[in-house]
Amino acid sequence: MLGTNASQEQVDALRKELWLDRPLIDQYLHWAANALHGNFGHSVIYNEDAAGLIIKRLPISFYLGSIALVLSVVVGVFMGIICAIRRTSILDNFISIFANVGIAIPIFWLGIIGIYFFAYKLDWMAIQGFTWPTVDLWKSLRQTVMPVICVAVPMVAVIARQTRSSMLEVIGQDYIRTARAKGLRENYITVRHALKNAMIPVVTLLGMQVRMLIGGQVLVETVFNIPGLGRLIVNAALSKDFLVIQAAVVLIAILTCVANLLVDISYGWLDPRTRYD
Amino acid sequence: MKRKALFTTLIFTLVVLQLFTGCTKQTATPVATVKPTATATQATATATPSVKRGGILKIGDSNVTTYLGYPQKMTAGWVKRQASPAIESLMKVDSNGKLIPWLATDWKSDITSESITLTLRTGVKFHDGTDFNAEAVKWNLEQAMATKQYGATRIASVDMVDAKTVKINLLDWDNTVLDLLGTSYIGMMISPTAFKAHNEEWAINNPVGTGPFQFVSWEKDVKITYKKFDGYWQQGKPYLDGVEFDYIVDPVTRSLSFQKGEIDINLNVPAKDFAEISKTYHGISPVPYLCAPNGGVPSSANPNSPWSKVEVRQAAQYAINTTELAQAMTFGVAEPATQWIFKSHWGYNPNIVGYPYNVEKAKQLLAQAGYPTGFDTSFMYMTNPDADRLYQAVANYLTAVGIRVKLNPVQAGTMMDTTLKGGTWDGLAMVGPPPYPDVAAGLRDRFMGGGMNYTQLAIPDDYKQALLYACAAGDFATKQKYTWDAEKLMIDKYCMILTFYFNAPAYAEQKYVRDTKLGTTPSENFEIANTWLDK
Repeated sequence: MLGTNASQEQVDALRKELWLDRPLIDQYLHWAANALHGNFGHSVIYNEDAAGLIIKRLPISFYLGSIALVLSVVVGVFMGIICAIRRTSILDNFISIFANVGIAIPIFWLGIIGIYFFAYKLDWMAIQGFTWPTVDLWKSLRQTVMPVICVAVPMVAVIARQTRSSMLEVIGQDYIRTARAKGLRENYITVRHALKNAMIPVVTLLGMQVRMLIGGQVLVETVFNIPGLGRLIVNAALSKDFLVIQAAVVLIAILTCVANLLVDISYGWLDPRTRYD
Repeated sequence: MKRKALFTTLIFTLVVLQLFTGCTKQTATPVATVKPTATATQATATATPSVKRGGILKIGDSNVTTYLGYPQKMTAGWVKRQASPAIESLMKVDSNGKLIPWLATDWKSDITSESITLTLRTGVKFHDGTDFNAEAVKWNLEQAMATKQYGATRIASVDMVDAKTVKINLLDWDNTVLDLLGTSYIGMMISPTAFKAHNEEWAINNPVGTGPFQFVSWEKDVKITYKKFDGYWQQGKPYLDGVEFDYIVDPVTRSLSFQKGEIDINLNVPAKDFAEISKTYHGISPVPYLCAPNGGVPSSANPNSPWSKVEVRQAAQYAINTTELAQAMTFGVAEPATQWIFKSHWGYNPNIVGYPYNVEKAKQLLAQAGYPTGFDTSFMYMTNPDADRLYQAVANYLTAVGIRVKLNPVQAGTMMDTTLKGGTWDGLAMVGPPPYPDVAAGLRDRFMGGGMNYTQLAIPDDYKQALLYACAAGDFATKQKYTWDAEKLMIDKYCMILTFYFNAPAYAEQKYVRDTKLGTTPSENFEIANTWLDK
């Protein structure tokens, strides 16, 4: 932190400032007490409040993550439905292979390939950077499309597989056969009867994916040079800026709890049988 | 039918995957076929083009800065570089490491009174409109003393003789302080008025200096923006409208961004890409001022260690083919090292013979030292992918002559605590700090014993005496003589440290970027006031 030419006095002064000369338990309690008051400490690398840094970076990650989440839900669920109702068809096989590849593919590799082809060779997209759409919409679109796709691809794959599996289970139920026997249209049966029941495992999966949207964009933000929370966490980890890392972990933990709570609440809407009377 | 559908799908998928892998193979970097020179290789046109004004110079950098506007808390060379458009130093150094006038136009060293008197340039303004004068210099140097910035601990006091003359009184005579005023942070001048009008926190984030560019904004980890300063003391300069440092951490992204023209300069080109980049752009292998040679420091102060014997140390150096190592590890970009300073520096002693690769000689020396079958030892180094490859290669060389090396990769903190903060080790430890800014000062501070650096290194008396004379010399010629003497003893007589090669990160700039003198001057790596864009 202080470089190789730092004097012993400078090292001692920084140790004292960061409470590194105290026992670990003292350091933790001191940090926890301050954290309860919203003070997560001062980043030695960025020379700013750790909480302030995270608040600045969070909207960017949230923006990209939200778009990726919506995209992955829409595309993933759609693909899962298609696979289920067109089981063993070419489309089903193709989507299944895509899903397996999407889960296995390294995001950073996908990002670099995307940059090379679509940005460097074809000049359809920007190579790196981030701009808010309110500042420059066209530049923002060119900079956002590829990172969002990179974040969304593994999520689409996971959601598609889960949706397919759940739909296949639901489609085989008696009440679906009854609905068909009643003469209802297939699309109506799929959306109104089958999908809702098949969504419970998918919603559970989404709750687990939410924390990935914030902390899991590390690779995408590094490759595309997006100043989001993921990149902040990486830089903090490499620089041993532990106050920033601690603050980020607390934030991700809170977001995960909130996401799981929302998932639990959604169960009641999806399946009235799970509601408390 | 089902089988046909599955078969068709599989074939289609395989074709798509093959297309992708085939395309990625095309991105593999070709083997270097061009050997770059060790100095800046900016192409010069046959006819000198006339300067064009305007444009923003965009520089892609990967290093995060903490203290941009307050030199007395800076600790890394790249911070100086990123602040250099706005903050200037009292002196600069040329490519040989010799001082040249800048904000100070003249200086006189007085051994008797143990002082340095600086004559300052007149007509210079800070960006806030206040004058650069003796009062400002005194304030800056006193700030350095208060923060115990490197080099300032040798200053006793600073006197203002008149508005353009400053006298620096030293605790003891030490000629390295003068060099530090040109090469280190203590010589960087910021506006005391701006500092006092706000506070240290503000000053850290807002550089206010005398440079050709004025600070505009700093988005941490994203971008630093400067705009042209119309009141710059060099009339008619700068030529550019502004300068931007864009943080792009990922080397592939930075390289593609450079090749696409999104940035004009790439400050860290991987060695494996350097030859290819140099074919299309200006590839620059800079003066390796900001880096130490890769090497090893033996635990020679331990009388029970094999490394206490000079024959063993010499054998180890003979066993390592530094030319082949530099070629293999850096595709020929790096300069093989025979001493602790690089060739173009004034401190480089051309009379040092060194230890050219000779396995038989190495074995002979080991036998002479009483280790005919070799011995076991360890090598501690700071781990990263490049270092892991390098030190494994070194271990292989040493093992070939019988010195069986167990590698000990550690994190940076452990490395520093062991080698620079009074720790101990047995065997070899990686050489760390660079010979920056002054090789005599560097040798004295790192390899002279008595302090916290490399406590396991044996320090011979004649070497120590030569260094003390070098740092106390009253003129440059004497300083150089004794520095060379110290280095000759360090390498040829005692083989105090092992040296492999200098590995400064290479740069690349677009062909339309002119006159940056990038990588030729160790002060800030840029002649930013003279830079222009030929487009």
